[in-house]
Amino acid sequence: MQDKTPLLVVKNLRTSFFTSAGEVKAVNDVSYHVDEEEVVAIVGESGCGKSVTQMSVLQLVQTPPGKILGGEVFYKGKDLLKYGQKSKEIRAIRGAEISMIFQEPMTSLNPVFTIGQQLSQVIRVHKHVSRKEAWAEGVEALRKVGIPEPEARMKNYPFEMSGGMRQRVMIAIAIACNSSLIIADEPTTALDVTTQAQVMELLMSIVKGLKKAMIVVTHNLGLVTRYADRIYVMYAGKIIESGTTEEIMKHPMHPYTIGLLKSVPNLSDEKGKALVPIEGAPPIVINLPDRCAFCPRCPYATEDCMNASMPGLRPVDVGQKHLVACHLDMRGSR
Amino acid sequence: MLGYIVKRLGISLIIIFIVTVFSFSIIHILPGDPARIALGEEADQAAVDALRAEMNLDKPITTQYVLWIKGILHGDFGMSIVEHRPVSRIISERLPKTISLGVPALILSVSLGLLSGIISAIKRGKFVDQILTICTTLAVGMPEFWLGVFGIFLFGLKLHLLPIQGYTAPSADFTQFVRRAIMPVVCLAIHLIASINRHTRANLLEVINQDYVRTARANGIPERTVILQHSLKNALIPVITMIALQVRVVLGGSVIVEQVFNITGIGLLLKTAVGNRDYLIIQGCVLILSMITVGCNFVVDLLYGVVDPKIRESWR
Repeated sequence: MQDKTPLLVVKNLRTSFFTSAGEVKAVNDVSYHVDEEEVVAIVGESGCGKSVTQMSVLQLVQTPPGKILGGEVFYKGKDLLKYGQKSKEIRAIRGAEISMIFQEPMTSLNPVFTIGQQLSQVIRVHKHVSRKEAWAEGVEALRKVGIPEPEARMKNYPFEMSGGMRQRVMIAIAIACNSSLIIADEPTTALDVTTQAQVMELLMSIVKGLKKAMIVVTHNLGLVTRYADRIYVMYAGKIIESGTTEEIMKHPMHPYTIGLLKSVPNLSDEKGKALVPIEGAPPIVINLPDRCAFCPRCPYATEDCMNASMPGLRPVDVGQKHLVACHLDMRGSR
Repeated sequence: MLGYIVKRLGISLIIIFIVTVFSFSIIHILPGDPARIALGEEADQAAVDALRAEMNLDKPITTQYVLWIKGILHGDFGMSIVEHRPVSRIISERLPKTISLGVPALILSVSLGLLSGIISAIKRGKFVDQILTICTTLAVGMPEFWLGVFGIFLFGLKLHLLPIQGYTAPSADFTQFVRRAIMPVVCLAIHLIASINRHTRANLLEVINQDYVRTARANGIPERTVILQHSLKNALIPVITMIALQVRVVLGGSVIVEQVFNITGIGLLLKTAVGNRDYLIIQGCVLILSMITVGCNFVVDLLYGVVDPKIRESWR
């Protein structure tokens, strides 16, 4: 595989929330990268820290209670964490270089401003254009995301639109300023299944068409296999497996990934085959002991797993890009 | 929009009508004969009866009410039985005093309340917020009369900075008006400032955690715009409701504040009139106050529409 230029490199990112119950290590030493024009998926259960990781990249974590404790986030070579949370520099990145699309289209748009007001405001913040030009660019952005009668829709309020339409508006805002990287945080979770497919197809065609890179945060493995080039699997604030989509689908190496794949329905499976859930619940990441966090739920866990400290990411085979954080060698278990 | 305004005006008229009917009946149900009070305890029964007839008090309440309304439509609010002067003249002497103190108090409350509320919310948990929290709690806890008396003692008697009582019309001597108005205006405003501060702070903090505020930040909107535009407009809706409920208290004159500072405004007029059974003055005051209240609510209803597009939608 030929090396591409990395667009975003995250190194040893750590973000915690300080609650009355203790420090929640939501993102615990996470490193990953996204190349230009690449679609990367971050997969994991609710509460595994995948969203917080993305929020940390743009310093959107609520402080307090959240705090980015350390790490580096290089975007086009610049460390974004060096900029203040409210600095001009980080604002120039937000929405213009890196755009985010959130999970909840119903609440992610401001209810008291029209689509046009919100869309053209973002354009005017980042580009030196007149109100009129910004409005025209807004109409154009709405047209690109397939909203019919964009001129009329600009004057609508969010409550006059469906969830799918609102998510299209969010995508329009994300592409309006020509960002190089789109971070889609569970972009289709709140939508019904048919709309999910439409929105995802739209997002992919825009990303591919405009040659952008994208990070898709999701718990939907089905989605990932179709669209992502590479996958990072997160568990309890850490990346526990990473590799190309093909590699991970064919040879999952972490018991958690294996469990996730077993719990996804597959059309090629024989009829009547039961889905296998992962037993137990994801841990609350307060005061976790220094050992593999998946241990208590892991069907393959050994005595050694319980006693050994937290495994680091290691290549599955020497020189490979497929990394896994597990003491065991799960080769051929699926 | 126009249809909504017409409908709303109609409802306002009905409300004013109901208020006057209620106050009219209550005054007449209560014991005490206005004619007797007007003539004094020693007057003989014949004279009292004659006055009763003259004042239409011998007629049924409904007839009295109709006669009263008829008079008002011709600009005649009747005669005060104590002062023997037209009620309309008495009210027009008193009302400007109350309004000229109430309007500045309202402006002060809304501006200071909103400003300090926004600051409290932005600086949540910081030193400024803690100071403001202590101040507002104190302000809510202090009774108006205590604050008034304390102000008179400190700024009037000890420091000799402000006159201790009375009222000067702004048209007569503006500087004197301001000097005399400062303490009563502050007394009128202080509770409202504190309430608006608390409500603004609480609502703004709630709104700041909403997804759409995160969206605004994620799109690189400057923090000032995020707070003052995206958040505040949403946070204002409940605050407007709260202000609406308080406006009458401030604009309609506070009996206590007028009493403490010896200002002959409408609040004091009403209080004296109730004691005197001067029922036409009571009626006139109640009518004026209910018109102020209903008028304020009307403006507030329109403000809702300005702030919230969903409400505007429902007007169509």
